[in-house]
Amino acid sequence: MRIIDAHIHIPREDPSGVGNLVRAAERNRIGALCFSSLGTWEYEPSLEACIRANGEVEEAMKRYPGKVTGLCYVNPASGEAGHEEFKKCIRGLKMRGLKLWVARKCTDPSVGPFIEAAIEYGVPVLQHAWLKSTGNLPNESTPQDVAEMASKYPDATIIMAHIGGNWEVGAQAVKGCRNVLVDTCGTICDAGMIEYAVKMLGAERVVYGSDNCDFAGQVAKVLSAEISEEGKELILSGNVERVMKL
Amino acid sequence: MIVDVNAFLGLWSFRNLEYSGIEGLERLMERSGISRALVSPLESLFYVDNWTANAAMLKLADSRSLSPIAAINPLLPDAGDFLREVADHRAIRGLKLHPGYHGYGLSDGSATLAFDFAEKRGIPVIIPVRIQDERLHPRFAIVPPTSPKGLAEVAKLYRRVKVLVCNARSDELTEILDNGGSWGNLYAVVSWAQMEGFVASAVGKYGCGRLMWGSNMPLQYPEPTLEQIKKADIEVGEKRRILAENAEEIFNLQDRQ
Repeated sequence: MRIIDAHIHIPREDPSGVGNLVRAAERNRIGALCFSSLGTWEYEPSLEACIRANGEVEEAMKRYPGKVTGLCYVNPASGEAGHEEFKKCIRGLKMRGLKLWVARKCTDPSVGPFIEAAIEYGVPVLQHAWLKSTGNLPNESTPQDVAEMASKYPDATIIMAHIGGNWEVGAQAVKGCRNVLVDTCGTICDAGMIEYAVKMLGAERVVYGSDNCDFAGQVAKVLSAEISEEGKELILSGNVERVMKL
Repeated sequence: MIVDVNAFLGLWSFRNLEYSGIEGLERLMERSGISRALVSPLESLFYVDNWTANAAMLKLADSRSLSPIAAINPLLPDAGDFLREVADHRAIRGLKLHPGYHGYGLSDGSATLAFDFAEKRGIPVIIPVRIQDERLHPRFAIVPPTSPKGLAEVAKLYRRVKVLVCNARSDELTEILDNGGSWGNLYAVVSWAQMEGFVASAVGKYGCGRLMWGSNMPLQYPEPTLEQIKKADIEVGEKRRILAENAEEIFNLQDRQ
């Protein structure tokens, strides 16, 4: 069964650690990895920080061709220069998606033009989302925010990270948004989590990701789920191949 | 042979668990090759009566697959009486404490009763740092994780009691073992450590004798954390120690086979 990791980051402490991740992925029969870099993980990164982060991804793509797919990272508040960076990453460097984290809520007006650009370029948006009982970060999007954004841009393809953290609320929130997929990473594997996402959304809207967590455990989240073999294949590779046109 | 040192029986108030109960646990164990699980009652998190909370444990003496662990709230007025009853049940293999749920700190002396008992009986104490990701708790019931610092302190104070720390993240386990690994009585249970390569790194740094495996089932499926050990870049003998031999030795399980 082919496995593609749809959500992984260049290691924050050591960008050269990509090689260790690629080797660990190979040991776990993961054939390809979709990397983004959040640079130094500042909540409000400058344009220069995003350009440096995307440079790390470019380097990984060059070093591990066929293994590493790149996603572009921007701060939506960076305006026209941010758009130029996005265009360069997709058209010039052949990255296959846009990563948005917590610089702006996904419902912020500054985000819209980036979603429109992603539609134009035919790439998905990997949107971080969490609903935390303990309180979200200042501009951290919730699953409900993602649903609002996705409804406004029905032609966009959105991958909501972490099934929104609180996976029951997350899956419920985006259930009606056919243009939203969810990824499986970033949480411990609660029993029934994958089954619930598949029941609510269908296996064709769930994608595997590790978010740099132990590959063996993250893959086992999907393999141990009580869903069909066809569903597992879609989650582990089929869906991300389809939406990123890999 | 796989021994799970961190499993639960009973109902979880905030979500339906498909595999709760003895039959459910045994089905999860069978599908993932677990031969024995050390179980404590989930009810002990919520009930304010140690006897009622542990009633199912006291009936597990004859189980071939489950070994009972008594979960005690040491703040309850008759906790001492309960422990005296536990002393009569030889099947009880250890104590489990839930400082976050029961509202005490490990450094404030509240758990003295339990540690004194464990020391006298020569049984281990298991302490889960959390049961569920605190970010997912219902808003009315957010339970703080147990502090890594307190865990290392209590292990230092009770050097003759083996203390197992469960459900800690990779960074928390690292902090706990850095601060208390040298005491010789503090053990890290891989049940929540998600960092890629953590198992190999921990074995390299602290040795496989300090590690065990726990599933946190039925709240979690056993396979994801089990695969972390099975696929870790360590020796086969080291995996055997982590998955079974350390637990068999510490909980004196050989007499059950």
